[in-house]
Amino acid sequence: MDFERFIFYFFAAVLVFAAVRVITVRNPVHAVLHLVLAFFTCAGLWLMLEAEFLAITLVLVYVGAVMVLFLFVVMMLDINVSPLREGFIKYLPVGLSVAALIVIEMFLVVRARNFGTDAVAIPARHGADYSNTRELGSVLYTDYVYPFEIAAVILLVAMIAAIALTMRRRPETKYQNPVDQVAVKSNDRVRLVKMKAEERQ
Amino acid sequence: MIALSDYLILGAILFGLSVAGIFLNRKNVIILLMAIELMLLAVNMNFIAFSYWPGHPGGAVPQPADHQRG
Repeated sequence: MDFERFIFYFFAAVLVFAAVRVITVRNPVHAVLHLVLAFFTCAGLWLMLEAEFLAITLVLVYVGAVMVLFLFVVMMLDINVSPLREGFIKYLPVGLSVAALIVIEMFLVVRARNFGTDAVAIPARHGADYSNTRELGSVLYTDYVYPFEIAAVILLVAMIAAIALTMRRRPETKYQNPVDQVAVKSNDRVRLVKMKAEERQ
Repeated sequence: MIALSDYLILGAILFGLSVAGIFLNRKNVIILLMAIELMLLAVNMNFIAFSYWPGHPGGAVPQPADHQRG
């Protein structure tokens, strides 16, 4: 067993362990922390596949932003631990059987006879001057620029929809109405009153 | 050396674990979301493995001839 295979099996074992802990642990904060461990080990596996940009993006964006946000939400919600576990034993057989069925079916498709080293040859390693980020960008902005722009527009639509769904006018908050501000007359602001001059005392 | 099937089987195991997690934690929405994140991670693992093996960063299994680069 060479060193690369040892590293792969080590990362794979840590990844499966972390995934099992995510779905079985009692405390949601511990589940988030094990999910962070799973993301880190997955980034290590992606580095072995020469996907340096995506590995670093996984650590920076997923672990650094999304998972920390998740952790904030979990800690702020202050979930009661014990009543959430009801149904765990009840759904354990069906969950495990469905998961085992999915894994067996996928294994029959992707096993070594179809995707092994005999069927798909291992590509040669790139040199030290190879930049995965440059390769990814050169493909993303030339061949796949149209799906990329469509994805950007879909994200913009989702953002606008999220803002429009959550924005509501509450009666006690004070806000400005630009239509009224533009259409204002001077008579609305200033009231000129004619009155007699007072006698000097 | 590590074959493509090793990465694909690892992704399949991760996917199966996340499906089991969705079944087990259906009362807890937060762990449900975490199981979905695990599922997305398994899918990304497959994408990256398939992008490494044909030597094309697009991540497509059937590789078009005119997209061959490098």
